[in-house]
Amino acid sequence: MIVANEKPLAEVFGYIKNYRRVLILGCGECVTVCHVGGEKEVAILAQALRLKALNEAKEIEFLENTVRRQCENEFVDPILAKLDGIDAILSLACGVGVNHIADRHGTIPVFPGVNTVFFGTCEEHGVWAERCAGCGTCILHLTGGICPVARCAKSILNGPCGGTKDGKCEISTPEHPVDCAWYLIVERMKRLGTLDHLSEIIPPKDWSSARDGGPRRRVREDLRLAKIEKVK
Amino acid sequence: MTHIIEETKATVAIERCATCSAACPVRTDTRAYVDLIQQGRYLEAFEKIREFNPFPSVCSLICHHPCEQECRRATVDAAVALRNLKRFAVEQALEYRQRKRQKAVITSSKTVGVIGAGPAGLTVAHDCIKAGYAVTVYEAMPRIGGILACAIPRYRLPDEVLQQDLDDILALGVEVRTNVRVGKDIHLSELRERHDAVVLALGLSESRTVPIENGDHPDVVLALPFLRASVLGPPPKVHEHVLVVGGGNVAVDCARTAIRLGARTVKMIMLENEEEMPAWDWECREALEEGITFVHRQGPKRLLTERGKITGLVTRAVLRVFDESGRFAPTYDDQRLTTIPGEMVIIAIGQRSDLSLVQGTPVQLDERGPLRFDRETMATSMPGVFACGEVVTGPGAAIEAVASGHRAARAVLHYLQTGAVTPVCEEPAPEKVGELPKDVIEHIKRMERIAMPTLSPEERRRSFVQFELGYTEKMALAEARRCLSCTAGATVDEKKCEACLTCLRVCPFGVPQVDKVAVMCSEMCQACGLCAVECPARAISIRRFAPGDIRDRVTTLLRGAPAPLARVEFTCAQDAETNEDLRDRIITADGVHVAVLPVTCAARVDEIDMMKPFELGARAVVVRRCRDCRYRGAMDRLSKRIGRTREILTAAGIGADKLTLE
Repeated sequence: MIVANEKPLAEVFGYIKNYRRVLILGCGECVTVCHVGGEKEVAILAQALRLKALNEAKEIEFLENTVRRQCENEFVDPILAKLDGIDAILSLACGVGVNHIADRHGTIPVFPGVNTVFFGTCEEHGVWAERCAGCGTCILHLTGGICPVARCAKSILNGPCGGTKDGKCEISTPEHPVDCAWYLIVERMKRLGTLDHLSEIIPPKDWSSARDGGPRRRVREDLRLAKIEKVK
Repeated sequence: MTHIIEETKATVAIERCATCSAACPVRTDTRAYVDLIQQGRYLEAFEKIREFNPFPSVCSLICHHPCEQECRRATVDAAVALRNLKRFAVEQALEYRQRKRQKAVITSSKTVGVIGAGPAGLTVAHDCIKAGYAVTVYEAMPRIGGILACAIPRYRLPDEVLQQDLDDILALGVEVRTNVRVGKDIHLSELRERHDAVVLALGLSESRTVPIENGDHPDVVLALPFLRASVLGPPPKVHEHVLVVGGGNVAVDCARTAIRLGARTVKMIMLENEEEMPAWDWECREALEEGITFVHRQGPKRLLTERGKITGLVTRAVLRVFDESGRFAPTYDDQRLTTIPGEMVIIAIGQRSDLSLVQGTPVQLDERGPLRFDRETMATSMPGVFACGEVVTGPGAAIEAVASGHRAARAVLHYLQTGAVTPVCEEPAPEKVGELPKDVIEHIKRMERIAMPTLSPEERRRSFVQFELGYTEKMALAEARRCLSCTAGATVDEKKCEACLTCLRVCPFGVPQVDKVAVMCSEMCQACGLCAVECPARAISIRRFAPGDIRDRVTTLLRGAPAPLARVEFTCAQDAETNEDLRDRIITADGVHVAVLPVTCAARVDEIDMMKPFELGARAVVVRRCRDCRYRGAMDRLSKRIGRTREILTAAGIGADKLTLE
């Protein structure tokens, strides 16, 4: 799931303070699940911004709405078709949604309300941790299901570096503990009885499928629809 | 809390009926009136009761409360005292209901005649006149109310309380003709000509008797005449040692009445053993407290007299009361006889109707004696003549008579509108909610049932004064809070739910099951509201609370508030002792204005509720929690939510110290 963090209120206010009618738009999927951009968080942010605006003697009207997913035209078009004097959109979706809305409308300013950070898992309620870097060439079959690209601070692929200590990465602190991914991998593969597989030689990773190869696009020709006249 | 996602039971998401309502013959929305009491809205609670039942005062004292027998709280500690709470609401509404009296508007020239002014007949009259038809009730006795007015002892139902219900019905404009015996003073066929529909609500007005050898003696009396005399006067003479034959509620009434009229000892002699004894458990307990004794498994055989006075009753042992199919078919052992000393015998073995008025009319009787009657259409064999109440149902409780009256009224109204007789269809009730699972029971806070204060047994023996003293406001609020809000809990909007699992994790009772969306198990939900506050998609609403209720109340209260508003306080309602504590209000002291909003569980107050007051001019917000929250984890959630909101207030320029938890 995509995980995002709140942006500081002052920063967000700075984006929209000179507009008169701001739509705060939430998204019903990942940002809802990580409690940062769903219908409830939209309402909280709206209320917080109203108080801040009052405090700063700014007259801004905040409107609230949430769509199922901000990265799909069918969900966002109805909103964008009826902007009714709205002069800015503050999107609480992940960066994808912000981009999509901005592209789709083309002229209205769209501001990000959250900082999108990673693809991650929920370790416990309220705690999310990065698990995947979207490298495009998944090697989890080689590492017992633990990703060295996402979970190793250096994304190294050949085993632990010299900085690992007591199972922790050298960037680990008591406040922000970070497991050594390679320590985890080795322990996991021991338990799986496949540790000797780590001795196998594998070719260098093809990073062209990752962000390193430029902005990515996936096309499924078999899914592309023939142009048919839409039923109104 | 970990939770294994299992096959969801298909029943989980479907609406269910609370067990209390399902048990009530008139399907009173019991949970709703208890919740209104809990909120301090006593008059609305009274109106909610009255919505279903034109005899709220009567039932608040004498109803056998089938609702309590089915109350799910009983599996936790004890059933909620639903009848006692009803009484409290009724008592609060005494003056209110008088002010509210007004004549019903008559919109039709057709009229209805009702024979019998008991609870069944008067319910028919009430319903028909409210539907716009003029009604005349014909009653043989000098006063209306049937058994309620003439035989129920005053220590259970004081006359002035009964009168509250009767006066409300009369105020609608129902015409009443007392001292009119249909069949003697006027014929049924005349009434049928006079009115467009007639309803027989004759009740069971005569006592049955049982043959006792040598039993023809002036001190052998029947139950109903005895009770009538004690209620209407002059009070019957009662000997020192009284024997009551019978084990039902009427027999208990006779026994307890005899005590109050001066008997020293009263023995109830019955065929049944302790388990079979038909009188309600609590009536038996109260009778035993008053010194009455029970003699089980004995049937009356012969009266013993000496010099014209009764000295005792010879009884024979009962082998069995019911046969294999459960029918009443007692068998005796005439060789095992007992002599029970006594000076007076009251026979209370059952009641029957006086059907003499049907002679010479098209109203037919059944082969076995009662009216020929269609229980679906409520019709007798005479066109336009219907029947209801104990005359057709057999012995039953007052609320059952009311239910029967409602049905007959529906049949009559249909007949008046269409000329046709049709089965009376009630809306099918949803299936009743299932049992509370053990895991949930474990986590429900135990709260002792508030006992109804009563006079001591010694005081009770001395007079006909009402022996149950009623709840104080503090007691009523404490008792109302014991309600588990069955079927008024969480529901999920599946279009919004993202199966984020938050509700599953925060619920103190393990209610949500989450697969593609969250589904709330109505058997388990206690309507605490925590999931609805925590849901990031705002996909959950709680039936018990109007959506956005706290927010709307904040806005309403603060819009009219004087400035400057020093503080807005959200206070948990759990510890409230008066309805003043439960009102949204502005308190002004030394020129300082404070707005107070009581809430059911402080953990329902969300971030926006806490911030909105500042937008509306408040200087500070306080959230006051109760002493001992009944929902596990709720106070932790609340304190963390407040922590976060304080950070937001700092960022907004208001300041964290302006919001506190106390």
